[in-house]
Amino acid sequence: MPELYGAGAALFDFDNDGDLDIYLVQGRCLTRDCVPNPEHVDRLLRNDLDGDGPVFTDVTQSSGIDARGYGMGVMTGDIDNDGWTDLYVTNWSAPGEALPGNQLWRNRGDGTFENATATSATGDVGWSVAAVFLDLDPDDLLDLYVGRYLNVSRGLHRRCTTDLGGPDYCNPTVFTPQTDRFFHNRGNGRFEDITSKTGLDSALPLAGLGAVALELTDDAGVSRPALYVANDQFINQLWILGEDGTWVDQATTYGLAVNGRGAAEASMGIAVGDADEDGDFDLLLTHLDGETHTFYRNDEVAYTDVTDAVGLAASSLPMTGFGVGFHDFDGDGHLDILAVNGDVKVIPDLLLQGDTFPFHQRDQVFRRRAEALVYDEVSATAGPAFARSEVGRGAAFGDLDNDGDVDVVITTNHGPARALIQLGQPEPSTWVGIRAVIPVGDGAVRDALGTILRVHRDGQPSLLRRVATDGSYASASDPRVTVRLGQAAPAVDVEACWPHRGCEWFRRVATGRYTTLVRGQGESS
Amino acid sequence: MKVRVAWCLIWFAIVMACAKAPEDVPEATSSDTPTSTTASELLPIPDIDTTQLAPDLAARLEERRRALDAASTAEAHGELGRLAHAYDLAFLARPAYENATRLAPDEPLWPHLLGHLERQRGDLQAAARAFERVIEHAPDDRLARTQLARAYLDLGRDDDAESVLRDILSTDPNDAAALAAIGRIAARRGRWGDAAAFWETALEAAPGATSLHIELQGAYAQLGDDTKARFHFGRAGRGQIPVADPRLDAVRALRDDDLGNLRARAAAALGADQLDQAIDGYEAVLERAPDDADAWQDLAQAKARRGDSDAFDTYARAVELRPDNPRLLFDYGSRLGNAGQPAAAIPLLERAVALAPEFPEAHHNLGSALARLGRLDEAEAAFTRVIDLDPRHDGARHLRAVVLTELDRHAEAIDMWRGVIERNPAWLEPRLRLADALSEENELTAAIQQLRAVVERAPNRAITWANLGILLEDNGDTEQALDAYRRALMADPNLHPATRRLIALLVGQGQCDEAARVLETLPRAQRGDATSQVSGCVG
Repeated sequence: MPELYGAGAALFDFDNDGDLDIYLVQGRCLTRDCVPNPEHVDRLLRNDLDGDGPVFTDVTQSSGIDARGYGMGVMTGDIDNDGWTDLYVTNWSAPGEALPGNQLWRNRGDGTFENATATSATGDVGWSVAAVFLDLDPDDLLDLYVGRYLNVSRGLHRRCTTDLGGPDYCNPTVFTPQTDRFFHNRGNGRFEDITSKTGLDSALPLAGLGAVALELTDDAGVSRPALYVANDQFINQLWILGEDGTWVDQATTYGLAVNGRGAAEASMGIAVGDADEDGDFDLLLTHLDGETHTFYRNDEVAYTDVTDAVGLAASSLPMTGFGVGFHDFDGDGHLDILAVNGDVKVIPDLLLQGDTFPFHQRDQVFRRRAEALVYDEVSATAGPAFARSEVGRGAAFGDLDNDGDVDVVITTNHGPARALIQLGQPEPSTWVGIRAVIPVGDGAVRDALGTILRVHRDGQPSLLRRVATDGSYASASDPRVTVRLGQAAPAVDVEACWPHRGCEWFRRVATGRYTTLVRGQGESS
Repeated sequence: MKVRVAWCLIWFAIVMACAKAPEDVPEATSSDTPTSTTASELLPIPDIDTTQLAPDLAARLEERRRALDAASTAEAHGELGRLAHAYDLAFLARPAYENATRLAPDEPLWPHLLGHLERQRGDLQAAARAFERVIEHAPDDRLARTQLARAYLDLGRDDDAESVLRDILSTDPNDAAALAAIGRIAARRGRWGDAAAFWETALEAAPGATSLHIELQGAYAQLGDDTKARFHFGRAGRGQIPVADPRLDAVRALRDDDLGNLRARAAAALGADQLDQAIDGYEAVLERAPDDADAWQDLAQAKARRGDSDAFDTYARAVELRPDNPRLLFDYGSRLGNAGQPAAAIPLLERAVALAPEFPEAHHNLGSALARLGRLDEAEAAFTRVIDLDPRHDGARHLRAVVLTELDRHAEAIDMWRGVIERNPAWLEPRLRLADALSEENELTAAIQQLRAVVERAPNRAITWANLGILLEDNGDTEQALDAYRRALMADPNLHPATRRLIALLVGQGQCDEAARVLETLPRAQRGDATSQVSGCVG
């Protein structure tokens, strides 16, 4: 099974030169008799952005990254507050396998990385896909959630078949799910496994594939860190951190455990965005074919499955979705959707037409109507990339060419990674780019993951965005926020609400370029 | 190496362009539909390699193909299409349906099913065209109109959808699905009052469709009517409006008796812990495929979970068919071990670990079975292997420590439990065992500390309170021992040994009144020498 679930990509600025570099996670040969191929290692591509756009150079070897696991996903964050973004790579492994488990690669700041898995104590043997960096306590150190999927090893192999009778990959329910892990950052690059202490193992393990950090307000009006975990074929979990420092799953209370028909779906990827522009974050989850890309609208007290009403049901029904994101691709100020698809079960139609890898599907783009929260699929007019049929998995979103619109790197299983760049350049007065950071000493800063930004516009609702690298599937996106305003303005006012530290105003943030907002340098609000 | 990325255009048209027609199926319209179709006007039906199919499905497809070769009628094409459709073989079903439609243009069934097929494939434009073809020939076809409206809605063609929906409502004003859909169109246009009115009527027509309350709550919230919004929020549920389509149901029914379908249904029942249905399902599979080892294995698992006495016979049959499957051997052996048959479990688990030496749970359960038979050295080796394979396996560490105490290796056991407890502070069993081991080593203070940690987390564990009392007493801490015994009896007043110890201690402390009161709580048969102790109490 593991060969069908990877692999993801990260967009991050590892050399702090102001543009996005790419990290690509790789799988490898899994049969017992295969000869390891030295080419099958994760790749680091440095972006040397010039006037014609991004130019990538493979710097894997010089970076010191030698990641030869059976790769699944990757997450980015500066774990030691040195101003340089580090990498956490999730892998499939099993006891007795000559394959590494999850790995932490620490960015030394000189273009090289060191394997800090052992010293950080964040290694884990098993099968992980999702990971999330979030600051659980007000110590400004990023803690780490690691999702774990199924207990699968060669010894546990089972034979499964298609509806037509031939061999197929198994349904995940034939294997045992594994308990997720949570690591507390103790400083100095060391973590402590607080899975039990925080009660994350208090519920049955449930095959998590996607995860995002959220912040939810409890009955007393207090904002609490939360983790939403998308589980494959099991109910989803919404872990909210209680006052006593333990996680409690409240997905059922919030309407996020099952879909509107009461069914647990095969959840894979997660997108977070204020799609209905009412000042809170809605969620979109991708699923198996026969299910939908399910849209959960946040209605203050709970979430409601409104997939049918927003027009996503019919067009997503035939697709098995993985990577997904809410981004304003057409610059009208409303959040559109890009979903990456590819099946995990043999597609009978393709198999019987002689396809040797019968899992491929089209990716999809959905455009939000200006007048209402309704999505129309516009894949047919979104460019040739969306006519191609591949086994899509990861999607890392970010502005690769720093021109003010959001591009995407899509990874495929059994195929190449693809960088899709939005052509053309938005009018400078119609977008604002923000990097929200925390000062970490010696003039260094790190991305303030978890910060919520409200961008104020004249005569129109404010735009709510989050500073995050998590979400989608197995991938880490640009921590910068690129906001298309849907109107022209020389500058905008931005309110930044920092994790654990209240909110600040930043007045007259210039449009047409990226601006760094440093915590503590705004006006208190 | 320098790599310049390949540019891929993402471009959004403000107005969505019409999707092009499918390449391999020429579009048919009413004007070019022949009244008498010749063979050359039919689409070729692709050949398929039936060697990749389950034998029963291959036979059914070949039978329909032969019928088609014998007589190229609309029905023969349509029936082949229906079987292919049932198995998601769209490349075969599409031309078959298309040919059936061309051969019998007045028959609504084939374009109707083609519409469903296109919708399932995600081609909503083609789905709409197919349903339009039904309507062209059968304008009153209610099933097709409902589906056509749905396709228009999904395509964002709200005006077209509304027109079809109003036609439906003109003949049946209480069609709940049409009312709900037209309400949705009103909502998309921001006409929340109209939307609410349509949804209220739909709810009257289909009161079980409790999901409509969600829509109504949203509509009334938009209208500023908080009272009604709250009313509907409180009644929101998951009930949907039933939309019957017997034509599609008949296609689905073609798979009802299909082996793969039976397997899938049984597996789903097993996954949902519906054991009766799972067992019936697997038995039905095995009637058709008596050598299906997976089905035997899953049936055995279901029977074991239901507590059936013949579960082990079923496992034995599965092992006969698949003697080298470590997972099966593990399941069977583990169940035998849990059922108190360690001697029978051991050979199965030994084979499992021989076949899959990196399978920690198999080593673990083998260790448990060996320990139960008193084969302690072998058990200890099995648990050690688990820990080598999975250093986080604290379950194995705990059991290894239990075995080590049996082997009188107390110091090693104590170290092991301490590590387990550090990582799993809420797990009580290792603390209790550690306390035992520490008291054996006469480390009373440390043992007391462990038992205190247990009762902090589980304050109603009477026996632990009592054991804590004994350790405190041994440690000379009489007052705290008294308190511990009292707590034990609060948690379980029938814990008579604790009552007797409390009486003895109270007498020793000269607290005769309380000793007498406590004695009264003790049944006469349980008093032993407590009565004489109290009688001789000097206060």
